[in-house]
Amino acid sequence: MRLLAAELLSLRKRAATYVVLAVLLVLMALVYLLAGLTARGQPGSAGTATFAFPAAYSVIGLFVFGLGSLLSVAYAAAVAGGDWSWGIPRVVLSRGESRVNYVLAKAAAVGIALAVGVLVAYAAGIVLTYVGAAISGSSVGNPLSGNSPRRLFDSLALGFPVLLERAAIGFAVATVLRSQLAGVVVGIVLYIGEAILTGILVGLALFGRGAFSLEPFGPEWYQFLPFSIGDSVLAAANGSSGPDPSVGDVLLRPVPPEVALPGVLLYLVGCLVVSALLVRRAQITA
Amino acid sequence: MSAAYPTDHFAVTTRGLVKRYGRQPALTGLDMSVPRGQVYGFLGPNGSGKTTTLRLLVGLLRPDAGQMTLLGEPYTWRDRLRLFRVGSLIEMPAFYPFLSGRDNLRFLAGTGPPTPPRRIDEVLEYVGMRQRSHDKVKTYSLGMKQRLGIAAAMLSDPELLLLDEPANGLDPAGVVALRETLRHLTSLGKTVLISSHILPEVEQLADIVGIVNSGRIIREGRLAELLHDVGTVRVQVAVEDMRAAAAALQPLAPDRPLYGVDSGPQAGWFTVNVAPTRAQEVNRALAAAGVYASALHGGSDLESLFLQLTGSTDPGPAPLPPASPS
Repeated sequence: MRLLAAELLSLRKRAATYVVLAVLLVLMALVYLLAGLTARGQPGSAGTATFAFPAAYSVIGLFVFGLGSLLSVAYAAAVAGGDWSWGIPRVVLSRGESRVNYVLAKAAAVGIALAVGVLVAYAAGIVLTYVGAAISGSSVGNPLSGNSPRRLFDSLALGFPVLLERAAIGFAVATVLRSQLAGVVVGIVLYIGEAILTGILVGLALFGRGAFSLEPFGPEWYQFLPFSIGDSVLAAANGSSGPDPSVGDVLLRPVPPEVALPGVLLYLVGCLVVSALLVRRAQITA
Repeated sequence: MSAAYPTDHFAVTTRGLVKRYGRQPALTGLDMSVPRGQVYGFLGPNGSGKTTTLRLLVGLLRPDAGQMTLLGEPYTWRDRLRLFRVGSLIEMPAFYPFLSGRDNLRFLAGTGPPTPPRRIDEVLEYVGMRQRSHDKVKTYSLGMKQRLGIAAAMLSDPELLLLDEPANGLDPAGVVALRETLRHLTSLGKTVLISSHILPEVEQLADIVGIVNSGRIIREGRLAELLHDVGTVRVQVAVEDMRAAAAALQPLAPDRPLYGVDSGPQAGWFTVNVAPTRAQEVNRALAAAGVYASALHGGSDLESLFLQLTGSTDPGPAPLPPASPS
């Protein structure tokens, strides 16, 4: 607990913690503002549906766990890699601290920071929903009626593990590379690279099936890749019963959540184990 | 030395310690014995293996061969709990630049051995950093970071302090304060191992020195004993007598270079590589050659010993060419 408190102290006073959250909130505010202005005077349009609960929870979830995923990869990589860049492991481990505990406490602190960030972003999303609805002149409905609470719970309970898993990937990459900058860059490249790869593979699959066939297909092997598998969970978290929207192709069936969620957890644990084992065996020369 | 004392007498011992970085050998069989309650000066040229040794002692690296004992018991990199009784400053001090000095110590107090919060104030006071402790580390000078690094090393009130170049970046007042601090710590029975390039500093501080070169200890012992037979005699003659003086002095130490300065403010000075106890002999040799010294100074210092043992390429004045018969 002492170690976790120490790690939380360093995250609490780190500018990146607030910058990452601010980037998310500013982008959310911009999009809600523009969506509100666009939907103004168009009652019943898709834009106004964005501002009506329970669908509004899914929209917030798309921001927090969609854009938030990319930010969490960068944030976790910055936290893990920054330590190596500044030589912190040298000082901490030479005080007799356990190498495994050091890694796990740092990862846990990042997880707690992300949890707080998610709650703040959700609260901001709810406020922005009201602002957007006021601008567009639509009604938000009751955020606590019908299946709204259930939708909110699903969005948080399924989305947060995905966010953690993606953060763990960034964390592991930075730990392997022992560098803040390299960790952030490689983490983001992996995230975007996998999305591009998946898109190409979907295109090839469509082409192979004699293009323009509207029959949904999948799940395909590439949907089990570290970032892609989270998309299937997010699809379920956002109440989408249809195809996985994240690959930009409505024809690809998502991996069922009962398979995707354990897959996400497996990747999460795997990344932490790799990070811990790597630091445990590391010879620290810097 | 190790045969004369039980292991418990030593805070640190290493035997046959070997470490390679790939094919590059860093330590080639290091035998070191650091007695408890003393200041041990660990000296060596750049790349001789000093920092590698310290890294091995705090478990940051694993040796390829050899044994270590730490605080009286066999030690491997897995015995991390032993490090609760060791404080260290290895290479440059490492801190979070966005945290204040105090918060960095608070962070470190959350790692390793349990540390009471009041200890943070104590060590900040000790290194004279209490006033600036609320400022962010990124605003600190090198010397202030060094002081904070020493404070961090002392945080757990360790029995053994391992300090790598602790005087780096310190101003003269800081060096004096460091010296007093280390003396105070040894008076409390603690052991201090300092690696340093600042030889006069080590000479003032250390009870025992170990000189490492090419990854092994080439001389170790009490400073006074090591310096007994080592040193130089410096003698000044008239510049026009230098050739005759060189011819007279060279036979005193035929296997060692004779250094002379024939121009500039130091013109006429010879450095003869003989023990200071032979100063009279030097004077007699000059007189026999009809050369009379205007100044003569016998001295033994750590620098001479260091240069002699490590074969440093920076001996000061250039050796004089062999004298030709006049």
